[in-house]
Order: sequence, then structure tokens, then C-alpha cells
Amino acid sequence: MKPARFAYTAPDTTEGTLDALDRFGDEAKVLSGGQSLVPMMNFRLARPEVIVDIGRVGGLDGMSAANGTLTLGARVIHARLEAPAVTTPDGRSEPLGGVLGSLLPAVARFVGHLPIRVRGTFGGSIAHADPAAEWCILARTLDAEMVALRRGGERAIAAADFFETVFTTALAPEELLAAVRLPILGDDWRTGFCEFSRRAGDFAVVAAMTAVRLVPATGAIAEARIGVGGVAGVPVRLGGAEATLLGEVPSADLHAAAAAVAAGEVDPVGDLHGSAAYRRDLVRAMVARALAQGAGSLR
Amino acid sequence: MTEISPPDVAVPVVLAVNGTDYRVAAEPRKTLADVLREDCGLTGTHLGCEHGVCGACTVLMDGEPVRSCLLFAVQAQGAEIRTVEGLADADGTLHPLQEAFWRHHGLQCGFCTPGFLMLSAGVLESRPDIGDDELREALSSNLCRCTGYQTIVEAVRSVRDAAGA
Repeated sequence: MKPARFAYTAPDTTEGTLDALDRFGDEAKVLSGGQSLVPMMNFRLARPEVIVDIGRVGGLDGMSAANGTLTLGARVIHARLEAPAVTTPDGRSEPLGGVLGSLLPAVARFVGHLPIRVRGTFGGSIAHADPAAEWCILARTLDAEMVALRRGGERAIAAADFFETVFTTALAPEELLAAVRLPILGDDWRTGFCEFSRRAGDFAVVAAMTAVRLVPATGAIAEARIGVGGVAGVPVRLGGAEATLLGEVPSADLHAAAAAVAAGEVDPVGDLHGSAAYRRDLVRAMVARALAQGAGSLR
Repeated sequence: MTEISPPDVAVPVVLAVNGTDYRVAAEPRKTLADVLREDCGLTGTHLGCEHGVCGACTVLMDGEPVRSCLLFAVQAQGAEIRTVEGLADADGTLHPLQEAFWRHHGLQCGFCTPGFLMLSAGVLESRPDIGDDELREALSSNLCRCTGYQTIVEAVRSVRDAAGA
């Protein structure tokens, strides 16, 4: 229950971090808030040779909104997303409004417990890539873009390509996840997030996020996104269930129909937290509830 | 090039705990909890699970409750740490939360108590008017195997109510 030996460096700049990652390659592991990595190190499930602590790097904890994109610095802690505020171009801080302004706090509340939320970071959760992690599900559902820096370069990785399998991402050993870009959803979007866990604060057994865009004139669904975690090595999008919703007006029957398709679309593996059949049933329940949440009073 | 501390070599660490600077030497892999207990001699901070679930090791870091088993001491340099030893006054007068845990039977074996006290202190200091539901949610961060939690909730609620009265 104590971590194995490691060399330690705590650069105070992004450049210093990239130099260290470049030098040590896959021997190195980035330490952000440490709320996922350190438990794994204490269990010795992770034994990095070198820890690159980015806790003293400036400039990685900004939140800004511009051109339809919300950019979250990798070191934004979960607790800040319980009441998200963005920095405006002229340097003021103002509450994030709109659909994301309501969605992010609703999701943040499911992340661990208070002491985890004040240390753990958004980017850390994304880079850790637990398939049941709330932010990973959100990133996949909204097609977030991960901004990866390396010495002398930068690239954006789409969520669909970023999450490869359990705890494994497309980040190269010498790359640092610096920020995540989320599309700012217009007011015609309706979102829901629903999670089942045995105890409050635990990782989800199954969690679902839904986002649908309505045509204002008709109320019909023009665009639909359904993302689920806890049923595969990565958070997954359920295209079949999404297609069920298109062109239809939200109703309890429609949600039930989409949820049934969703349950048929996943192929979960059972473990001690829940059998495959149980998880499949949870997908049905979580998707239906998330859709109902988005639609307001519809049940 | 940023300095690299090799494994197995203790590095100098200065920790500000309860207003006192402790100058210790710790390997980078040594957790804040272990350094507090073994190097600072502050054994009030308890270690239960050592993977961030039980909360027995909760201390305040810059006012926020954190798991000291999930932090390396080197990360805590420059921060203001508070442990259960810092709650009571120098003359032994108990902190209101300690009084309340006593009065409301918020402990039996006492193993989890330092963690619950520091969690509660952090919560009430940052949110003195916290609602009942939010308070229960915050207290669910830590585990207690004796009390059934209700007496802990009552103890913390009484301090919140007394402060607001």
C-alpha cells in the first residue's frame, strides 16, 4: 500500500514538462491531481519510473469560451466545474451560462467525493481514461477535442480516437494533455446525465449521457447523441439508439424505444459489480432517465 | 532542465503544518500522511485504506479537505497544512467540533475521528451555511465503522447551527 520507487520532477513551465516527457518517454507518468494515479501507485498497479508533477505548472487551469468552444485547461479541478466560470477576453471572470453551464455542475456532482473533487483534475480524469468516468463519457458524447502538446508541436485528438481501451489513450508518451475543447451547445439542446452506482461517490456501474437538439418550430429531434460508460473498455456512442430519436418529438414512449435499442446495442462484460445482463438492463434504465431528464417532466 | 530527484534519495522538504515549519527529508514517494506521522511526529492523522476511500487521513491543505495518502509530501511544499493536532487551543480547550463530537457521541473507537473532524472543519469554514443535504453529502466522503454516521451528522450540524445563531 505504499508506492514503488520513482524519480520525481516538478517543472514549473509547460516547456519544462514537455522536455521531461521527451527525455523519459514511456518511463514517465504525468501527475496532475493524483486522485486516480496515486491509488494505482499505492496498489502498485502502476509503477512509473519517473513522475512528472505538473502541479506547479502555470497556465494549465484556465477556462475560456470563444467561437462556440469551451476550452478547459487540463488542471481545472472537478470542484470548479460545480460552479463553472470562464475568463472573458478582457480578463474578467463570469459564470458559464447556457446548456453547458447547467450540464457541467450536474455531472461534476457525480465525481467522487469532496476531497477528491478539490484535488482531482478534469484533464487527469480524461488522460486516465477510466471507461466509467463521468468526464470521459461527457467528452465522448459531445465529441470533445483533446489538445496534446509535445516538444515543438501540438495536435488535437477527437474523442472517438482518443480513448483506445481501459486506461489507454492515443496520447504518445512524450505528449501532455494540455486542454480539452467542448462544443458550446446552443439553447436548442436538451441534455441529461444519469448514473447508477452502489454508493454515492463510487465509479458508475453504468452511466449515460444524452444530448438532443430540437427544431424550435416543430419540437422534433434534429440531432441526437447518446454516450454510455461502464459497458466496454471505452465510453461508447450508441448510434442505433441515436437514430431512433431523429425526426421524432420527445415522449416517454420514444425514450423507452430508444433505450431498448440502446440496451441491445451494448455488449457488456460482467464482473463482480454487475453481470452482463444487469448492465444491459442498467443501460436501458439510465438512457431512458437521461432522455427524460433532458426533456424535463417527461417520464 | 528542471531538477530530477532520483528514487531512494530523501530530498529536503519544508512543510507548514499548524503554523509551524517542519524541515524533514523524505523520498519523493513518501506520502504526506506518512511524513506527518513519521517525520513530523503528528500521529493524529490516521491511515486506513491508503487508497483514498476511507478518508481517515483527511487533512486541510490551503483550507480544503484532502486525502493525505494520495499526496506526496513533496507536492505539499508551500501549502498551509492543518491536522487534527491544530484544532484545539494551546491550553487544551477543545475546538467546537471536538466538543460536539464528544457531546453527540460522534465517535466510538475514534479511528476515523481525526479525518471526520478535519473534513467537517474544512466544510464549515468554506460553507458555514451549508444545507442539511449538502452536509450529509460532504460527510459521506469518509467512512466510519462504529457510529452509523447519524451522530456525526448531528455533531457537525450542531456546530453549524451554533455558529449561525
